[in-house]
Amino acid sequence: MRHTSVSTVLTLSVALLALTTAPAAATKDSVPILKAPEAFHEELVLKPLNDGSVYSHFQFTTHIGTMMDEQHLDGAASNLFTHYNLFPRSIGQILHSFDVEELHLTFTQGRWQYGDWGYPLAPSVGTGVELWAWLNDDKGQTDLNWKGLTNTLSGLFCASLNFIDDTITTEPKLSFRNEGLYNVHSNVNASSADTKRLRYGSLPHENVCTENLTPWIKLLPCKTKAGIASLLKSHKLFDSRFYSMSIHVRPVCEDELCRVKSLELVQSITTVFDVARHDGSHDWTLIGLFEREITQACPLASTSKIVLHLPQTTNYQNQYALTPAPAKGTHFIGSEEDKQEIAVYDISGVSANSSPFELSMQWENARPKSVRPITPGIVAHRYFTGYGQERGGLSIEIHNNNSEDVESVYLDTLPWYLKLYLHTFTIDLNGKTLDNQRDLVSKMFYQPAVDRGRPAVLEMALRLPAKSLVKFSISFDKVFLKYTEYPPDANRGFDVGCAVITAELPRQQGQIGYGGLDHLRIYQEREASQVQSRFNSTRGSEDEGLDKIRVYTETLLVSLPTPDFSMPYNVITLTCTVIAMFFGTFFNLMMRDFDVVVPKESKAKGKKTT
Amino acid sequence: MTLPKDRTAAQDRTRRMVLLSIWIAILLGFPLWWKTTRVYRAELPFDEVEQWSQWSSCRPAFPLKINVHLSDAVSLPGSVNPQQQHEAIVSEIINKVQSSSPSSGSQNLPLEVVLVDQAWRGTKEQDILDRPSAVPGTYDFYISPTSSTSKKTSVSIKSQRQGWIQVADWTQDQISSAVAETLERVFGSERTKIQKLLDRQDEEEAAKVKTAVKYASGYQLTFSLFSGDTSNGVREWKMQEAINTYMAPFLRTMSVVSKFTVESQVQHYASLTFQPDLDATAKEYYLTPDKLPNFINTAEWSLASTVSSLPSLNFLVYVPPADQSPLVIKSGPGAPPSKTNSFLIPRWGGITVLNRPANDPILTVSELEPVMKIFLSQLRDLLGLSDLSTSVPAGSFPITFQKNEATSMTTWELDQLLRKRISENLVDSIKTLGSLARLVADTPNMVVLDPIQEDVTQALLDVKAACEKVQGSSSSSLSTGSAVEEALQHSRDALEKAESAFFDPTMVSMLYFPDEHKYAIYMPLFVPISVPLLLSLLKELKKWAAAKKEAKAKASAKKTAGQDADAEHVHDRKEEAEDRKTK
Repeated sequence: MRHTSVSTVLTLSVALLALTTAPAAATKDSVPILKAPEAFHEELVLKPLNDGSVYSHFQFTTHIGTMMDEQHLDGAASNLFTHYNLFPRSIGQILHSFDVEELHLTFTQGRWQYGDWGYPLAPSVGTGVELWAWLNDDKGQTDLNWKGLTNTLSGLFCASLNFIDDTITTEPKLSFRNEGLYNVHSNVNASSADTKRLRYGSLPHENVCTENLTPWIKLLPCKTKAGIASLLKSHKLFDSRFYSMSIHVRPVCEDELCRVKSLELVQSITTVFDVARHDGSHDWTLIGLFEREITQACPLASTSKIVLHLPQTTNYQNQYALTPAPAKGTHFIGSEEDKQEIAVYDISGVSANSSPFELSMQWENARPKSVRPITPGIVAHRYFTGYGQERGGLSIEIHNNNSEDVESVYLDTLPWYLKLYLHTFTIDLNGKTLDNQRDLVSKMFYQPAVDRGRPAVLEMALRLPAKSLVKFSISFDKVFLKYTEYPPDANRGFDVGCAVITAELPRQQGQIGYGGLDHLRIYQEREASQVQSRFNSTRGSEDEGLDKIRVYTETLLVSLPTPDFSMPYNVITLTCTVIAMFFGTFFNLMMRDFDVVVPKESKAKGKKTT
Repeated sequence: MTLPKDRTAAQDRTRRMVLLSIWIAILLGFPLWWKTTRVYRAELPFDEVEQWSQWSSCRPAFPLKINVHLSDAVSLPGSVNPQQQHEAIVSEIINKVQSSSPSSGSQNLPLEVVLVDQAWRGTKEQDILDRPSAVPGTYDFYISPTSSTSKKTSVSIKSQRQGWIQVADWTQDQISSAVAETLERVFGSERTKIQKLLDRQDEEEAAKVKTAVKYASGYQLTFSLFSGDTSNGVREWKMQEAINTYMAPFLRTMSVVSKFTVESQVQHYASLTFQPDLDATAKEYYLTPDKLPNFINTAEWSLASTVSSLPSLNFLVYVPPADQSPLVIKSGPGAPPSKTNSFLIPRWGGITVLNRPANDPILTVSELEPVMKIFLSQLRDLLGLSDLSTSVPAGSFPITFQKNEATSMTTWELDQLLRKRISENLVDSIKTLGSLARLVADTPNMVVLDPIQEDVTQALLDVKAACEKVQGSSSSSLSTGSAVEEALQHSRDALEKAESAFFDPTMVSMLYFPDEHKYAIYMPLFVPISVPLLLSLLKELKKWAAAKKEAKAKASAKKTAGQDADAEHVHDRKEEAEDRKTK
């Protein structure tokens, strides 16, 4: 009884909205219309990274009071009139027709370097496309809805999402939970059976390009015509070390007691620009990064800010100059080692009459003298072992750099053409093989693969010891596929998606979100504290200051035994030729008369004599 | 040395048997191969489709029932027996209708005129308005002597299938001719239209661009506000209220024919693909009609629905930015601007350019009222709802029409639309089935799977059911309302089935595997086998012919027979020797 039925939630939400907003919104028409407040916020986070790259994170948040509307034509389907302003209609239609409660879609290109860059604000950084959604299962049509969802998103974003079929889709048991205050609230009030289902799928081989960005931009209220979105220029965005673009939709609570609920759409773009590539200089300007400038603020945005995380330089102060200096000065967040200095620029005042917004950072000698190193709490790597096309092995290394034990969840989805042998699963702790795996693994879910049906899923709840290196390994056989199952570039190999580690880490400076930006997290910190206060009775208070982060491993490329694809035609031709030859000989033998030729006496004698 | 004759003969026989058995095996195997490598084609009922295209088994006709209510305020002159007189009036009306109408088409809308025994006592308009007819195809005419001072015949058609005929002279002849003329003028044009439609004589009309969308059981209406400059212009509109006020009654009435889903959206910073021209003297920007097709910025304006499979109709309000307003539609500089400042894109939707003062972020319901009126009339055109008041020809007396204020349509028009849509659906489904039959007949490589056969059969059944429903709609007067709706349902199903059969994706797949490929694959088998087979067959035939000739010759000249045989044998041996050499 962890989740409540959604219809209850929605009726509740509508009723509550009616209480709070309807009197104010009642118009001259006789029927009062529930007009929930819509709001749009935009924010850009910039951070110079230690290696000279510049991290940028655009986040656009749209809140819509409720999707549901009490008024419709009698006799017709419910929710007949649906009116959109800031919220994009295409997303609304998708959510409504496929009964989606929560939707997370991320397109990523490049690999996030945890060791150099720390943890990003948007946690989904697995290469390729990652899609996960919580679907309402009231009618028991989750699989149908999931199929419709992937196909529709595929059309909307011009991506191959329709390839997320049964052979890729999984339902993780411990990862990708639906968290946040809304779900805590609905779980507490749960009155019906578990009616929400999770579906997860990823396409590691998907390339991200302009054709995916264009439909994404169309979802923004101001497009790229105004506000910080006017910086988005595809040429520059894709010319970067890392690019990630996502949309997240989920229901949220507007107040602590969850009286007012709303639907939140978060669109984000994360890039890492390599500014030091050309001349080694770490200087950068906004126009140099994006080749665009902000000429007018988006009038629809309630907040419009640019937040700059200033570099953490040790020992040397004032090595760089910021132009313009922030109007309210910089301020510090955190203390001691984890102190973070940030500068905030409000750009809502920028208009066509004033000069465009410009920002630049100049170093004294074009580069910092020294930087404070980043040690991310958890880093993971995954690689194949073995050789040949028949069998192989998989190894995962998880480094825990924390001085405390860390609870985490490991999720790995492997395609069905890798046949895993669970008995070969071993765990090494700091180089020594563990005899009792239960020391580390508290829970383990394993779903064996079904040929052409579903992937193998390995999910484990782990307790990673402090300052340790944990290594898993498992062996597998490679399957010889059917001739039509190979892609056109069969010899390139098959991509295997990333493994995901979800862990609760103490807050630290390595996390880019650290320092006044918690509201930009998908699971907002403002909610997290509220959630914690609800669980204070069950959980200890020492958990405060823990952040849930996700760490993605590398995607892998596996080469399967590949046949010669002209083989079928060769076989047909060869067989036909053999049959034809056989037939020819046999036919000739049948059709000829064979006589015994008796040589002439004289000749035979002559031969004998000579 | 010579071989014994019987041995040669035995060898010949064996050889022939071998050849024969191989040929028999091949001739038996060939159909097997042909059948196993052939594409699957289910039988389609071509004959039945052909029959339907001639309407030979059932021709759709929409019987109309006319209830005539005679006022008893004034008794008819010379009335002896009211029963007889009633019958006389009815027969006179029918005679007059038949004589005035062209012979063609009258069978499509057969009239049944009934004089209601219970005389009508009222004389006021309100009495008629209080008695609406709820059954499609059944109309009430209330006839009374004229009350106006001008003493002229006049007809007023009310919105709920009633008509009020005020006759100048209260005589049997006047009454019947007034009713007959009214019926002819109201139903005459529709009758010929349906006639043309069913006989497919509307080719020249079909060639023209049709305004009305194709019939569907549901439509998605999308109202979009495109704001040219959100910074200084409109950001929000009260569309929900406007739809509830101006659109909802019409849509509710139309839901008999099709269902509607309605959505609205606001798109900010919408720009045109071109710069409108400036008329410096009038101080306004203008769009010429030839630029209107490019008005929609398909690259940037999101109009398509991502999920709906229903056909969508779009209604756009474009508010130009301040530096391009006012924006009007006119043919050139100096020409008078369009009154409505809007235009209709056939089968797609309507667009209105709305000029309004800047710095006013909310578009109110009262501002939207004229826009909604335009959209409503555009929606009527798009749905194929004809305006009865303009389509009725002039006659000897005026006919006035009264519309329902809320729905801005009459049930007369709705009935007309129902009849038109049923006939269109039937004609379209039969046309589609006919095209399918021709396509299948013309393309021997095409796969025809069983579901297609089922669809075609089901479509024909639905056509039949729809046709019978409309035929029988007059006989059971109580359930006629549902009969017409059921007929529409059947005709809709028929069209859907016919189209799903025609557009079935499995039909196309095998077109990429033509017979040529099949032959190419089996070529390495067929060619090496067929060459020796054919050659030896020819040889055997030659021998057999020679042997026959020889037998004849033998019969005529027995002496030379032995030499001939020897010669032949020698010839054979020579060949054999040559064969060996080559080997």
